[in-house]
Amino acid sequence: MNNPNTALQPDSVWSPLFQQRAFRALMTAFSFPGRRQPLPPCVDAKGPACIAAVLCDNEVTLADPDHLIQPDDIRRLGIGEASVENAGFIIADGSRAPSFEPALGSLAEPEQGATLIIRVASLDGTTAFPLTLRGPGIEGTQSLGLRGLHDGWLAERARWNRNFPMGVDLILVDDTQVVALPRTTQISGGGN
Amino acid sequence: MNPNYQLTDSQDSYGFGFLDEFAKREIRRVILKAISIPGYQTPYASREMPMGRGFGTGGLQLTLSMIGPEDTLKVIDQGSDDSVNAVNLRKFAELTCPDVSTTESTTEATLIQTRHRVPEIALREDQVLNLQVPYPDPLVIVEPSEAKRKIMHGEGDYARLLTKLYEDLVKFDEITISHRYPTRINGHYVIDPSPIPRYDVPKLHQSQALLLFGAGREKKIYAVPPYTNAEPLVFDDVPFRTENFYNADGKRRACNRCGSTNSFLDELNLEDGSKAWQCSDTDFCNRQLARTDAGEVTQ
Amino acid sequence: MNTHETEASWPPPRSQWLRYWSAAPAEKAETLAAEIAGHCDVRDITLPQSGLGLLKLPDSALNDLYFLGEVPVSHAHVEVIAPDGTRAEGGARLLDDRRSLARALAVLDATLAARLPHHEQALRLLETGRATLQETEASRNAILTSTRVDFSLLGDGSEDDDE
Repeated sequence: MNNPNTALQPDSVWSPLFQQRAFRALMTAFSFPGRRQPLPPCVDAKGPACIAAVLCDNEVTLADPDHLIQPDDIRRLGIGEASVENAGFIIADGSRAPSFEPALGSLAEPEQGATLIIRVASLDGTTAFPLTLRGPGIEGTQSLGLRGLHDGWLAERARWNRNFPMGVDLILVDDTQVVALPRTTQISGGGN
Repeated sequence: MNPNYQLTDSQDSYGFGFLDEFAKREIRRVILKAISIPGYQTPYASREMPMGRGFGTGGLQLTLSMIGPEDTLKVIDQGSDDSVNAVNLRKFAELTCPDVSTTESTTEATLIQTRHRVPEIALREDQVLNLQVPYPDPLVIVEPSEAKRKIMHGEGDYARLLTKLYEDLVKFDEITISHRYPTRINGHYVIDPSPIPRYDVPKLHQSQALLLFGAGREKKIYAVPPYTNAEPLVFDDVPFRTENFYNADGKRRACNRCGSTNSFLDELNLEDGSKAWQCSDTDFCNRQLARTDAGEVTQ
Repeated sequence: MNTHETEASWPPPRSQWLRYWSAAPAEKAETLAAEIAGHCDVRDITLPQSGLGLLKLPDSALNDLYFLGEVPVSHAHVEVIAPDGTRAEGGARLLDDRRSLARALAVLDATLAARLPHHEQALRLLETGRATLQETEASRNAILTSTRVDFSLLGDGSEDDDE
């Protein structure tokens, strides 16, 4: 089972085939904000680690303040670690309110705004506090129910994204599914 | 040099999709940022491809970084599947992406790479259109400095572009841009929608499919997400006009092959010196033709 | 690289292993590594990579740095866990573009370093590589000897032609 190497096993998160399929799930998630996309199955990672494996390598910086990725996987990613304020990618636990200021990019280079990968308990439909989404990629409105996202995230996100084109893009992920909230998505509703 | 050099079977060719995994990952990151900031020209490290820049390397890099064995690819150039550029790019994809199927049918394709046209048949949510872009920045005609253009884009400041359009109206009573018509995305960034005719610009508006633009030589990727406003830059009192294909009598010309009167037509110079008009989108034309033939048979 | 010292001692120090193994047929190394992976657990600590490295050298006149050119580089870092639970780490960084070879040699490196099962075969491969290297070196020395110029024949006292 160990040869050929890890990256050649089709069910590994490091294999090109997995990464291509997972990227397509992410691209669809960004194209249609708020719609849940299943991540392709893999044996050696779940949730945030899958997203990091698809998007991060030694050319980007990543901050993992809540230690959601195993040290072994951090080494395999080969990423440059950075402080939360400077990182291009931030992995965070959604159950706690954010306590950092991510990079928002600049007027001339808004793409420098961070991508936040937020682990939530579940993206599977709870209808208790549905969020209503509007914006590019959404025909009319899109509703989204999820569990395990602290209210602080939505308030902070609104503050970070108040000066378009600068802002941050969110990827919400549970163990098997992903939802993207690019900076253009307007969110209303929610808990409390 | 090394007499022991042997390549095992698994390594004696390029990896799936020609690009290495690092290149794909970078382009993938840039695509997600481009979707998040609709219309913003996101810079990326355009790779050397085994063809000249300007032959569709931007669109090709988009395609190769996202294509997988489940995909069905269609490549068109000026609406045609059979022109040199389209055939070569399609062959390259077939060569470097084993298991990927290719098609000429717009409806069967999951990925469509195109040069100068948006297909006539409306695209669906499960399709992606990758456009090859020669010149990504519409502001380049009014501002030579890229640093200044980036600030103007960020501020949504298109006053000088509007002035240029106004000058056209004063001189010619008509905005003279025939293709690459500046189009405002989601009320902020103005894009160069690549050399598609004006006729295709309304198809960008609230499209069901994701539209991606890749400029390989200029090293930029930008996107029009699905269900996003794409409004050609116009004045309140001068509405946007598309090519109408009226003849001298004010009658809409029809395709001389399939008879369609609701498609973009190419003007052909025939050998006897006369002119003819034909659908530019060959797949659309074939479909119309098949429908007419079927209709004639049943009648 | 002090070859005199390493050729004398057997087995050679770990720093010389890669040099010898990469002189042996790559196919043998890869077959052996696959065999080891068949009964040991092999994990990638970093993902094997290959690519081009830029080599920077100072020129001899002004001591300015310039790029000599690109060299192929491949790299692998693995962990091998034997059936009895013994763990060993091995690594390889080669001037070669074959990722699979770097990974195979990293597996051999770990196996031989911790004397895991099959390390005898790895040792034998080391011998093969060393023999090849010595052969190459001998043939090069022969070429060098055959082109050696005996300068003593040139100096017969009449060379002061600038006066």
